Amino acid sequence: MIGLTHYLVLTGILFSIGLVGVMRRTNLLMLFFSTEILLNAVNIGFVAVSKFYGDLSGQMFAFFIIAVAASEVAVGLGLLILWYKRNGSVDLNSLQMMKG
Amino acid sequence: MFDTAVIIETVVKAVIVVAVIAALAGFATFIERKVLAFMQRRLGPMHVGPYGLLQLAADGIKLFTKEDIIPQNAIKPIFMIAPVIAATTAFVAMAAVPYFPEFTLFGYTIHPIISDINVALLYVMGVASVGIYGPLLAGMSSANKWSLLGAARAVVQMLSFEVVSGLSVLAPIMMIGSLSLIDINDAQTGGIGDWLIWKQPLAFVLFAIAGFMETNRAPFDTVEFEAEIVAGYATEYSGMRWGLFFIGEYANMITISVLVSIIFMGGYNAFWFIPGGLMMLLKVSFWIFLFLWVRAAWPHVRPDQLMWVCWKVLMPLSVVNIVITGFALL
Amino acid sequence: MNDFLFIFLSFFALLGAFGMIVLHQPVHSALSLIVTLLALAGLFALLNASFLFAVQIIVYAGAILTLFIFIIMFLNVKESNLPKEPNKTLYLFLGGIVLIPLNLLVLRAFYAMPLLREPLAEDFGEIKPLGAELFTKWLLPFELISLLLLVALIGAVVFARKDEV
Repeated sequence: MIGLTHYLVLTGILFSIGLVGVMRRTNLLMLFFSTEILLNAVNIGFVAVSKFYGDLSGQMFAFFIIAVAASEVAVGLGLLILWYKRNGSVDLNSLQMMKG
Repeated sequence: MFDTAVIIETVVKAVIVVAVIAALAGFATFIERKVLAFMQRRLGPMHVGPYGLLQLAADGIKLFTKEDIIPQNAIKPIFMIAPVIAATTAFVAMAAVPYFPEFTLFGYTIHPIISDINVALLYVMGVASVGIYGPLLAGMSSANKWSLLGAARAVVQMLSFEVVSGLSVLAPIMMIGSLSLIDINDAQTGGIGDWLIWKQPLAFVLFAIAGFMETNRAPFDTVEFEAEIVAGYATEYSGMRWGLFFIGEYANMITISVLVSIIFMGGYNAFWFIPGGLMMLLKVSFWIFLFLWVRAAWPHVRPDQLMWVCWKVLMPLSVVNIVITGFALL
Repeated sequence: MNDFLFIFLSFFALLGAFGMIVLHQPVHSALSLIVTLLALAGLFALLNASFLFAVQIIVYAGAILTLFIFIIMFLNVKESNLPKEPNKTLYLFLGGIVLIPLNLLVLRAFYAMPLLREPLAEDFGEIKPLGAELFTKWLLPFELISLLLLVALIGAVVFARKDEV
């Protein structure tokens, strides 16, 4: 029988994958993707806990996280396009200099 | 939670829905050619079978036996899977749509809906929005500029009109208080005066316009307008893969017709002496006919006009409609 | 059946996530991410969260990922412009090993909590109780999140504007 533990293990593995992606990939787009994985991993954990404890707060948190993710993507992609137009690169390492 | 009988029943229903809708989608192409022909004082397909009825079979044989061409520079796996996505999402969206009133067959009550989930309307719109990936991936992987332009148009337009269709359908939902299509249907049992179209005329018009857009029908078929971008995202497709796009488009048309009939036009409630199931068929047929009629009667619009009308006319109108409905409900 | 569905969906979720960080081309990564997101939507449905299931499909798969792929198409990043990532796979593997203790920590924290014994309410996670809770107990966060979305909307419009000012 699948219980809370299984869902949390899934959350943990997904979160690790996302975290490794954030740390290791130097492509800015990949950074966004990995962030989505992180947020989604947390979501599934929240909803699982919400079900197994009979409390709707977990689902609320997941709902708010999805809203935050949507706004993050809207602003982030705008910045990404600006950066790409200016530099012609989506390499994270090109963000190192602090000049305008 | 899941017992075997339910699983078997669901699978059988799913197979029936897919088979019937696919057949109807094929039949709709024949009807389209006939109706357009009569409106233009032509005869339409006449040679194959009586009144050209077997044209449908001839078209099917042609599609199945045609060579499946994959362009040299195309990204092969994505190119191959894109039409499958388009057709699949069109059919998956039908899982939460009720078609007829429940009836009894061999002492076993059948609900003609695959799964009555409590967020049915959200589900249908969500799956329809996933359907964007078909045109998008097809256009990106085809290595063809027409395809790319078609894909770009498809994405921009569908994302924009999802806003309109979502907001316009919100007002009826507020009045009924449920997202389940069965509940929405049951709220309109009292004859023609109960139809939501009388209480929400603006939402009805907005949803219908968004429906025309989401199914890429004229006058909003800028996605695959022949004179501008050849066949849009489907330019490089041939044979059965192109056929899948086609079936997906007509299945979407049927879904939109069923949705409009259920939400605004009384659904499958019996009307006067006509039983509910027949009423539903009549309404859906009327909507399919309307789709064809509009195609014959209206010229195309330009993509920029389409965007203008979406964001500066339709979206504000739907928001105003929601506000008015809210005040009226208070 | 539930167990089978869980294993099936979580397998695809993990496969998609793994493909996302391993694949080199952004488009392939995005497609792989779609698999993950749809599988997670299925898991939401398994967990009685039907509203989140719909929201996940509409917002993530329908809007966010479409936007991503559209941006990738718009930018048209050449193969040579993609960042070189030497030893990527090795680092990914090592990173995964390093993160195992973190997972164990989370699991131990949850084992310390008491589990729910009585069965769930009949309408748990359906849209009506969810909405009621959202607009009573969580009203202030809800308003704040709408403000955040508005700010993000205006911000995106400002970024996208042509440089006429």
